[in-house]
Amino acid sequence: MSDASKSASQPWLLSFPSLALFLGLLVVPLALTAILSFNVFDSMMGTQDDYTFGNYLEILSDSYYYELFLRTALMSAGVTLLCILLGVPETIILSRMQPRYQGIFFVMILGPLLISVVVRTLGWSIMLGREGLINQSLISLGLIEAPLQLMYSMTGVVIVLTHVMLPFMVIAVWTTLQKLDPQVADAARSLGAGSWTTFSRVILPQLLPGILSGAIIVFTLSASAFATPALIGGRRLKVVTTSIYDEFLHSMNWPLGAAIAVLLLIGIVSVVMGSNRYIERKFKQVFS
Amino acid sequence: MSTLTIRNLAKTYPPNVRAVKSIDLEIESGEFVSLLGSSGCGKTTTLQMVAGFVTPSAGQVLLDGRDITYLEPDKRDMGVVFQSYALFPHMTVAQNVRFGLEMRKLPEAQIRERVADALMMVQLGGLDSRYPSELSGGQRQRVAIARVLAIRPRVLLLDEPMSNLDAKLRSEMHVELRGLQKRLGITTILVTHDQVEAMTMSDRIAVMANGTIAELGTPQEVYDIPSTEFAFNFLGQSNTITAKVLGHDDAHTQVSIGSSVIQIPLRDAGTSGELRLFIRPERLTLSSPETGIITGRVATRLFLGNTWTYEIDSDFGRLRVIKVNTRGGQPGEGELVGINWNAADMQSASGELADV
Repeated sequence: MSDASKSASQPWLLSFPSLALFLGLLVVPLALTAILSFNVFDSMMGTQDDYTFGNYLEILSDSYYYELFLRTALMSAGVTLLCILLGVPETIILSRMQPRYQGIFFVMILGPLLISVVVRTLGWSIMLGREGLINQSLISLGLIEAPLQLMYSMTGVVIVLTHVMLPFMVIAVWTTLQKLDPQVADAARSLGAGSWTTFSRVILPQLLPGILSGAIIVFTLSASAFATPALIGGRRLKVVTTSIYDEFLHSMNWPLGAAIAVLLLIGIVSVVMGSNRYIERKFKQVFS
Repeated sequence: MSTLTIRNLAKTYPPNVRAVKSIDLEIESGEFVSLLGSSGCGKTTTLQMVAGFVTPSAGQVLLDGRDITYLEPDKRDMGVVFQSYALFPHMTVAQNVRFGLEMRKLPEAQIRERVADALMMVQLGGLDSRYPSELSGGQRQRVAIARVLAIRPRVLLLDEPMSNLDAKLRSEMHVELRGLQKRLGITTILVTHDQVEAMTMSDRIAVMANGTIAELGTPQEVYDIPSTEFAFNFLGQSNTITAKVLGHDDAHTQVSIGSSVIQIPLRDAGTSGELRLFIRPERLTLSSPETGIITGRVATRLFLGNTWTYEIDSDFGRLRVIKVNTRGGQPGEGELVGINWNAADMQSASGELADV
């Protein structure tokens, strides 16, 4: 083998293991799902070998699915908003702590990611139940008369998802915050800005790219989350992922389930690409 | 303009780090004072206390007689130029400069006028709509200067603003910034570790060490007649010579060094015991061996273009001599030479570095 051809094939050879993994575990299953979504389904005989647009037409013509996708989008948006409102101040407080406390609190913030999803969610369902800790405390404090419906409700799902998504927001904002020049805040103060103006006009705008990238992560992970909506939302609060699960395992209508999954993927990818393009355009000059 | 008074200012960080021990400094209206020192001497902490970013542990800061020690930084009317420039990266040049004016709620017309003025002063006209990331280091610094000049601060605080510039640009900025400061008559404090910067720009220099001011005076005073051994060695170079005091008359002290007896100016040098004397390498001159006050043999010589640096072994120990590179022969290594100096240039350090 000549040197030239060797150097040309080398990158491919070196990246072969990861390419194989990527192809085998991501591209092939996705392609199979996409193909499956075009298969004909017969309620008596199951999945057929013929192809059709029927599954997509069924989804797009049924307002039930619009509601389903809208509910999922609202849920993800709610989680994203809460993560921003809680995560940004949390990260700023964290960044001002003494190093030894920083470590402890970092572990606490990352905690939800370290616990099994089943254990975490079951723990929350104990807290959220009608006789659960949260309702009981609120009643004994006299803030409410009757227990709130937290389990099997949007409120409950959003609370639990926010808990587990918060670390992603904190990490994204933290990375941006570390790049800020601490003297910039001093500069704003000495130019006559009070602490609040310094935050809103100088610190926050610089954190925006981090907040936006954190928001993308949180939104997409919430929209595709399964265990939490399934266990906390249950049958009463269906989202896209749980309905895909139902089509596959209860109705046994695999092609329809696959079609919903493909639409969810398209939805998430377009949100990510749209936001990415927005961020790049908006912050191109500012952070080079 | 404004006078700034610093009284017994001190900062102790827990558990017991005394960053600034005690600073007393009176800065006249329109005066340019440099705090010069190596890192860790407390100069930046002092500046931050004056700016209001750091709360002093003790002492006072007075602006025109008014106590501002504990005033918030946004109420002080001071302009700070930072080492990192600390520009707002998400704002254009013009937005950066107008920020302080917006905070002062000036009418729009006046803001526009002052922004244009400030950018003109630092020769940055036409770059209004650029972002800091699109500017060179020197331009960023000009924006930082324009941003503080626009608010017409009562005191200008410069925190090593030139240390990120290359040498040529730095010396241009020295001249330009000093010119601006004189024209506008702004009371200014410069924090720097660069002696040349401090010497070229300042009316007075406060040489700092260990959280105190070791030496205070005009650049010429602190260089020519410093009172501490620290200043002799920190500013420029010095030959240190150990002498034995023999006695003194009304004007001079007689000392013996090796086998020589010489006279030095009487500056409370004491009447007996050992004495350390200092003389700058450029104040020693070389001659033929017969005409020298003492003689020595050239150990090494270094050529630096405009000067030669000689290391000469003599009765006084090894002496460093800096000689201007003139036409004609220069003594070579191993040659015997005479060394001369003006009696007034051989000095003792009368003061001790205060260890508060």
